[in-house]
Amino acid sequence: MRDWSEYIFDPPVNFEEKALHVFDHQFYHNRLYNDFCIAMGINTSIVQSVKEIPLLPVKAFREASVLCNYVTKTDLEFRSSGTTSMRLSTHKVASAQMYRLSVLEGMKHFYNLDNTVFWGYVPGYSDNLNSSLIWMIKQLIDQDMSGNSQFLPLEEPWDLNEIRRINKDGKQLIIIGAAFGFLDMLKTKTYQLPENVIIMETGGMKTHRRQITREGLHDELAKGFGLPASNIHSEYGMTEMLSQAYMQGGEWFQTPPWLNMTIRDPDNPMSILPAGKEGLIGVVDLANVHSCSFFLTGDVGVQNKTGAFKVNGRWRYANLRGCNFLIEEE
Amino acid sequence: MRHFEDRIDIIIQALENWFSDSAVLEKAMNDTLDEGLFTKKDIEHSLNWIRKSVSKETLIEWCASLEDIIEENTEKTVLCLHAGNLPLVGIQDIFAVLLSGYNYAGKISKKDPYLIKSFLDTLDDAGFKGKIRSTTDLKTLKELKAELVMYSGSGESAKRVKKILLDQNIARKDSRKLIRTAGFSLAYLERTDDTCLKELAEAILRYEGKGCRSVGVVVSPSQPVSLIKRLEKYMAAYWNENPPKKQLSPKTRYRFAYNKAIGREQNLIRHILIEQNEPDFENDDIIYWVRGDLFTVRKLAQAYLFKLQNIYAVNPKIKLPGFEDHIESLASAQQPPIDWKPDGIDPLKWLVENQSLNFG
Repeated sequence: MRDWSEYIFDPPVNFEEKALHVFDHQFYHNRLYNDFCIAMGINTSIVQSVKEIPLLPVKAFREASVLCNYVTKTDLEFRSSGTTSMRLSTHKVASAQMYRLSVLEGMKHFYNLDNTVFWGYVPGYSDNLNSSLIWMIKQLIDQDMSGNSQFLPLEEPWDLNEIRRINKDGKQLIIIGAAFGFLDMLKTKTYQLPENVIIMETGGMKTHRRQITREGLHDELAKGFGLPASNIHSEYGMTEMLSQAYMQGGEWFQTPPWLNMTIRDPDNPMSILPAGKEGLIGVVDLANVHSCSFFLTGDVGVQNKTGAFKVNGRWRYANLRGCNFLIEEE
Repeated sequence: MRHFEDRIDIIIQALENWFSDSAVLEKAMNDTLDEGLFTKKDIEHSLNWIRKSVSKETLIEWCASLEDIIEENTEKTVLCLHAGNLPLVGIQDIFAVLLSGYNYAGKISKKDPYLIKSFLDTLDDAGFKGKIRSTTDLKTLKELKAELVMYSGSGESAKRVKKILLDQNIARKDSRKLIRTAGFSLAYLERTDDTCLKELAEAILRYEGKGCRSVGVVVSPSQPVSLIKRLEKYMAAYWNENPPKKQLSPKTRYRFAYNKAIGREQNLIRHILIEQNEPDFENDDIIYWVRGDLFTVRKLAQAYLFKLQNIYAVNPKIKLPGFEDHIESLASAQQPPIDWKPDGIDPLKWLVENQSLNFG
């Protein structure tokens, strides 16, 4: 199996060129993706730009095995969270090294890793041995040679003295975890954290009953942790994606150079919507080189002119058949 | 205004006038066709259905069980928001409102602005003057303060409609609302003779599959591959007689490619995709075909209870405890009786039962 990591994470080669190269590779080596492209009437001689590459519906990871044909043994296997009655998404990862590099290089793109301590706070995930989030946080903890990074014990209050000590050492502390975990914790105890602390929520609200906007969530987190809103960051990732996007305060997610998002017309996923228009989030994640790098999520988003994007929840298909009275169409 | 039998007479007179005054109806039809809103065959089908199902006898029968409680008249207003997905959809609500003696206010859809309007004008002339008001612009109904509202929609769309109605005082804050949520019907094909397949093709394709009475899910114990092949012939015959407006959409093509990739059994028949899969309702050009028995029907009906309009069976006497009210004959899918129950609720009964309510 070829080691693609240098090529994927190598900055001098532009994204477009790499994406076309990976498309070519997956078209010939991923039978499922090849069948999809052929049925769409698309092949490598037709595709001239990344915009013309068809995006596989992300549910393929739930309904089939999405892997290049040459992969005979996988290093890792991740499953999405959900109830036992649900069919879960599975991402078989051919190269743990590729994923590790994607996590670390991605984080490095936005934060100074050498000066950062990571704490993972992940209640609700401890029983999911196949969580990609846990694995990702573990890589961040393990790369910190200072020994200060750790998974936080779930039943104990956070050690404020330790936080102050990290602050005194001039280090940045990123506490990373699912949004609902932070919110649950704040119900019993609030904090006044020093300004070197960043709370990074990784979403996860879609599998929970509560509904809250991201703005509302960040507001609650800022108040609960006694931090300015700019210290509440977000990570956008999913089991099916080996790379992550980050929101560093504000409301827009940014991607590392090997990850690209577009907003697609739900009625025609080959069509890219202009900035400001809401649609389905389309992903090109080159780190997925051994599975499928080109897929369409079920998340609703909008992009600005710089390519940064917002996530506005899950797409709900309108009940088209039937006598729906829709004001917006009137 | 006289009692409900007189109202029936006026309705029947209005229908006779409407059907006989070819200039009025023809203009409404031509305007509809000119704008490409519906196919000619679908409009004709809808008109034929009204001709067949609405008579003095059928209206009397509809009112019969409510005879004692239908009031002489009421000054309360019912607002009907018509969806416009099928030609003349909502005409049953108009009959129900007028039969029960309420004032009717209609928000007519811009997707079907001519046919309903021409019938309302005829009703007005026939003797309902002062009882009927209609518009295609919801804003013009500001301060209407309707006591009752009937419309279809679910989730976010229903909430949005509700907010607009209240914000603009179109409906009273304490108004009663009948909100329909059904979006598809299921056909249980326990027999597979040619008549059934012909009826199934009609039930799927009539009105381009857009009605809540349209079949979106088929359950059959028989081997699907050969059955779908046979159905294909009847679908082609249907389209031959009823040339469709719809073409294969990019979304359906995308779904076809996806199914192909994951190895799901499917048949793309012109613009309709029949896939052997449980429903996810992502696309109204997909017919979900599930191999199963009455137990499967029941399981699906329970899972999609709020979206399900009818369960059609070749033999409507099938036993399906808890869903007796949903069962109809497959042959009646696109030709229901005038007193059919959208979402399982008789609109006339609902209106009559709300007549005595006091609004502060």
